[in-house]
Amino acid sequence: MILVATAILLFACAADSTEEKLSAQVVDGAPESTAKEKAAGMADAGQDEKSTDSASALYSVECGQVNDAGEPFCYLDRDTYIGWRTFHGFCHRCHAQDAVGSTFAPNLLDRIQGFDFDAFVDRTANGFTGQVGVMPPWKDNPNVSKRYKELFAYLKARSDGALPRGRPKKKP
Amino acid sequence: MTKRIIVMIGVALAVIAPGTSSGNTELMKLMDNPDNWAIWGGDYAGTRYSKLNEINSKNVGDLQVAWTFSTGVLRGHEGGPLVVGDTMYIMTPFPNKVFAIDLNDQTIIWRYEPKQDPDTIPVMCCDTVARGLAYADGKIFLQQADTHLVALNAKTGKMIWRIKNGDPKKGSTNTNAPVVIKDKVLTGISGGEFGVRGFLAAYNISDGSLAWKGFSVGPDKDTLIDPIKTTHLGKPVGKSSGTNTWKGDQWKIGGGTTWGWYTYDPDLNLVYYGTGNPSTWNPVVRPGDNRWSMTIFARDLDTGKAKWLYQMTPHDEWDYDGINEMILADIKVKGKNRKVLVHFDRNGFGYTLDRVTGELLVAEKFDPSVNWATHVNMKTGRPAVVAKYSTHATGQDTNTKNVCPAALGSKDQQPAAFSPKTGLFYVPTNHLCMDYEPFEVEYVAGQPYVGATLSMFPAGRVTGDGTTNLGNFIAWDASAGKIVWSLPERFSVWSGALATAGDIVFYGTLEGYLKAVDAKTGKELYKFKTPSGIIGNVNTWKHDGKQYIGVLSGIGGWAGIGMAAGLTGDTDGLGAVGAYKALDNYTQLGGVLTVFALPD
Repeated sequence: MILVATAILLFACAADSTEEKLSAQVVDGAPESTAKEKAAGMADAGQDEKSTDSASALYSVECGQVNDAGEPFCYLDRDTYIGWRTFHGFCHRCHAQDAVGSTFAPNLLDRIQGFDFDAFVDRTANGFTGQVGVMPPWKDNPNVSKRYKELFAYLKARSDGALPRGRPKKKP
Repeated sequence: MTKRIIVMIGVALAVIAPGTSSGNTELMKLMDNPDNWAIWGGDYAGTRYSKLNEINSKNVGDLQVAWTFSTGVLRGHEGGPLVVGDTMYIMTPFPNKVFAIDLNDQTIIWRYEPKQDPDTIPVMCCDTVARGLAYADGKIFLQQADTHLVALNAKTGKMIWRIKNGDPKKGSTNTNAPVVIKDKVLTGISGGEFGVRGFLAAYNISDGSLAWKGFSVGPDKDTLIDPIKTTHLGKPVGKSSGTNTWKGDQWKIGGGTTWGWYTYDPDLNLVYYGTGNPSTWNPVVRPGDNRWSMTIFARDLDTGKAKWLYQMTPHDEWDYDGINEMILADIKVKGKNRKVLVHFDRNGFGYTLDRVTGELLVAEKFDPSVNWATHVNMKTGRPAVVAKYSTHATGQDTNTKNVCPAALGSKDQQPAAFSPKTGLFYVPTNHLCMDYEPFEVEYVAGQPYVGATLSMFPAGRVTGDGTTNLGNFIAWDASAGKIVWSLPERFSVWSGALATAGDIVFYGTLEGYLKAVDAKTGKELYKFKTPSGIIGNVNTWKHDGKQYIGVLSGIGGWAGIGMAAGLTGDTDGLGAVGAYKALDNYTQLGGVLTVFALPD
């Protein structure tokens, strides 16, 4: 059985509002597309143009049968996969594996529900002081600041329940 | 010109140093009396062993809570209380409050709360833990998170001096407990994930001036390594050993931080400690052995000069920091009496070395799941790395699966104990494996410089033995390199152990239990659930003729993250692998000291 989950989000974004790169892609859940690969590649180079008012598939998750190790078997689109990887390179040190939270940083599955993309970028870029911990500003770390969109897609996929815990795979 | 002046001052201090040793003499007297717990390890050797035996294997089951004390701080409480005479000294995680408590009536004699920049918090990699204080010369030495090292009047709590040991804006912080030896106070630095270059620094206890500073990596003048006199497994290390196994000037952000514990042998006048991971967790971009990260150092206390070195994990590919404690003991190895150093490394090997010469005597796995290397070559000292677990060989952007141990290590900073009575080492361990994928990252000063993704899970998933425990508490024979007994624990055992002449061993669990077990058999004799998960060290002392056991509870630290590892489905905690429930189901935050004693 293959479950497919996608989410569409409307980005209405002033061209200079954030540092993140928004790729001008329109994806509706169908397997895509060179356009997307190209956009992501351009994002890597930091050269793509920012879109205004474009609809974008936030993430695409395809989960298959449970494998031998008892893990669900999920494929992510490239951007969301990069979000997963960035999260587990930088954010998991506080927010824990799979974003479930630790003793000193909140569970982001709950927390992200109250955030639209702009608010997410603001918090992530500038940091803030929470009830227990302090979120550092990430705007000066290119490894993270180039990946706001991907991170947001990953966290939404987790938060929406589309992506279960564990290590996903990149869609071939 | 300036340079020359600095050098001259350095020489002057080195000349004065050996003569004045008030801190040493006084502290050694205090440590000799088991009524005190005057240093993190109970003694300079870091044995965490007490000669007290009023509480013993026969009566420990009757133990009761004598009194408790809330620190008022929520974050992870590592380290443990010091007891000097009638006074107990406690340090909390950030903001690093210090309390002096009168043991006669448990009132607070004085408290000290430093003003620290909250911007320090986010550059601390894994919670804002602190591992405790040092006492000597009528002073309490406080190593703050923001790198300030402070000397306080032990009677009044008034600040005597304060110096800065690093720059948090560049990612330097401190979590370690300082140690006082002779007239110097020793401290290290944290920040390996931020490209910080590690060092051990010795400051004069009278005024905080720098006596010496030995970097882990860099040119010989920085590392205080002598190309001829400093040895690695008996051979001179040669020129520029701290730079010539690095690509270009990568050593400048080379890591090798020093956030663990420091021990000392007064007869040899040597200080022992280990260095952490080379910066960036992506091994592909930093070819070479990356010396002297992941290394055991033996330095002369007076000059800081390195006597011998041993690199355990050349060219780290898994974040196996080598900072865990070096326990000094005199034991028989292969029928011969030896002065040894015993070290349980993150990489899963238990090492026994001759601490005089640095000769490698034993290197065996102290967790059966360890798979990244088959063994250590006893001639070269190099681990035989298994190709499929080499994250470098597998390469960038590729997932290396089922590596044991996980980055947390088979053991992290939680210090082990040694009982000269049983001759055994008692070791709190982790039992986790991981998937690890290196990827390219850009370095920016003051920003985390990691470059790998991690997923951790119970070791049983790799060994296939059906076990689900995330930790063990083991007894280890350091002569044979063998586990004598092993107690599975649901979660990592992240608390420092205590062994006593009462033939018992104490440790804490992440659920919050203080446990006492028989030193010979491991049989559980007592347990009590403290207010929060325990990542602190169990200490003991005597006051007014009565023996007490004390431990800080207060869940947090990296342990608090490892906790959630192993759940693959959001509902797993309730399902087939019900052994794992989120830590939330067992315990909540909050720092409390719990003190135990036998009933009157």
